[in-house]
Amino acid sequence: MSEIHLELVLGRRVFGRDGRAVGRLEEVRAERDGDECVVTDWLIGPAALLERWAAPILGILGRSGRSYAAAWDQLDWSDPRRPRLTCGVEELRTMRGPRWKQKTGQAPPKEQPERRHEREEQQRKKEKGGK
Amino acid sequence: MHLVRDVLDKQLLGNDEERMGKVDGIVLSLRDGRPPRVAFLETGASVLARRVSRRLAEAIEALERRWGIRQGPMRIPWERVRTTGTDVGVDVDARNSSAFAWERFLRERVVEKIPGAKE
Amino acid sequence: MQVALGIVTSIAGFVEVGSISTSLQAGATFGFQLLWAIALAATCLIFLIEMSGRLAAVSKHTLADAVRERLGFGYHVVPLTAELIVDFLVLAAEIGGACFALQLLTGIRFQYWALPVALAAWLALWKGTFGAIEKGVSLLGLIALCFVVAAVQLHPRGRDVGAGFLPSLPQHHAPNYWFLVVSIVGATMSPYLMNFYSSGAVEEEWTEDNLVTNRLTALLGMGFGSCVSMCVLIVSAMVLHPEGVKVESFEQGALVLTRAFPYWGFLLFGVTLLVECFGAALEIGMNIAYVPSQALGWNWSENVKPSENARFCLVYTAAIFGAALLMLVGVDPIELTRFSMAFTVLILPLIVLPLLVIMNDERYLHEFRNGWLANAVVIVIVGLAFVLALVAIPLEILGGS
Repeated sequence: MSEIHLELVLGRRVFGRDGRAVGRLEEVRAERDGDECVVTDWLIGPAALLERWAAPILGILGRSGRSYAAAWDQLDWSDPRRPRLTCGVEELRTMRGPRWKQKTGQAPPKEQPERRHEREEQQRKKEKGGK
Repeated sequence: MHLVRDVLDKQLLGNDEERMGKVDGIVLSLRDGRPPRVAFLETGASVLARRVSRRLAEAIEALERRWGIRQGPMRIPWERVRTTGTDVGVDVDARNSSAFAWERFLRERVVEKIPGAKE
Repeated sequence: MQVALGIVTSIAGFVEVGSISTSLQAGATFGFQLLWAIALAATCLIFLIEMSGRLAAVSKHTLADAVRERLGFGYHVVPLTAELIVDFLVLAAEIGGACFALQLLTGIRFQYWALPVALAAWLALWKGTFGAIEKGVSLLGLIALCFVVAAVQLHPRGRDVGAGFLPSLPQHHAPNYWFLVVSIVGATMSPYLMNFYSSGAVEEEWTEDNLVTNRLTALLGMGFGSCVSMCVLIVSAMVLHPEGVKVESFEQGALVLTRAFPYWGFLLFGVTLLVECFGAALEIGMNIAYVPSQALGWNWSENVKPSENARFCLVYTAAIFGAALLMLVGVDPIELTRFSMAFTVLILPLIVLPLLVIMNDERYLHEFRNGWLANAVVIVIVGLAFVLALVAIPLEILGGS
């Protein structure tokens, strides 16, 4: 087992199998799994940076087609200074792409809404549907 | 959850909502065949300095060891994280932890020697 | 009561060595022509101060907190370092202003006052609380209203004063004119004011219930404060400009109140300069400790004894005595003020730009995020700040002498 320091690899270029730079690592998605917090996606490219900095402005600048979400197992960290993809670039999701459907045949998991009032609204709709 | 947006650089609050530094670093543990997990949150001058210059970080760590302040940055296991959001709440007694090492050192060696410090 | 105190605090905070010296120089050299610059800078400041206060009241985070948390240390390290340098230089200028005031009042050279003034400022911070310091600074600072009285007594022509609010091109010394515009903006929109205000809101435990107070304080406090600065310019324009006096020292500036107050003018100027500069030194001293404490996540508060926040107290201690050292070795406070105003303008874009991100963040501000008007104002201020930052150094070289 080894470890990487996220703050030191942030902004580093991610390379494809052909050695060409794909983009920079700008964000990491994670989810709680019991007591653990596990990585689900590595977000690469300028759209990820914009998502982190300024969601409202994102709409104006648009999401770049060259921004990707790589699943946790699609990045090789043998050399933390040069993270490499373990798959082809075409297998990555663009920030909105249906990669899940591509690989597993399953629908993409619904994102948990982070705003409390949206979660409560969702809960109310579920309860209404259940009655 | 987004680790950079929601955790990194956020204010750490210990028990009693005491400020105890920012999340200066996040340590991910890589595991064969399983998704990486967040092992620790790190806080401390040397962790922050490492983001700017490795040499500066080493100098700070050497100084901290030499003056008996602490033996390296503070690591908080993820299991101790209570809340995330605009702050990261952790189950830690802030004032007695190594996050307050410099605070204790400066208080005992400098501040308390100046008249009026305790009033 | 809280609103009234906030307004009074803002008046006192607005008037300090930078605004006094730039207004004196502007009035002496260009008459009423630069009133528009003070009005423009003050309008921008009102918006920025309101946003800083709103952020603190709703999120309980100060501006320095939010910039690090939202934009990351990689971005923050640059404006953080720059702001600390500017704050240090301005602190030295304020201590220098207080020392010069004492030189005017006693005849003893200003260098000899450096350590006593620094000691007095340090003692006030060491023993005082935020509320007590602010009350003291603001009530004593009302002495600056003597400039308003003087301006009224001199009966300037309304048409001439009104014309000064319309931007106009200078008829002579164009580089000096535009350099003064840059200096006025730098003196008015000091980065320390925004963070200090948000820190004060957190110290006073403001909540969403204080948002109306926040708006009134920003509008009326900064508004009245800018009126006092404008009165300094008007008085200088009426007294010094016709005589062709260029304000290159505080001794020349001290003549400005002698026409309105023949017996007391010199003394009044000296006391006003002393009180305003000392008060500003206290605020900047606190801010210079607030900024790194908040950026690095330390425990901080002026309301707690020094033994309970050692790092915070040691930062302002080092800053105050370090700044006094510059005066001890004879650095000219007016030159230092001029330089630090230009440097302030250089870093202003970096300080204001993060507001576009922070003030639109739902997690910090919930339903109190910026509307379209506030966002538009921030974009305009950032644009203006970038333009001024580009021309600040060339103008410093061409027009600063």
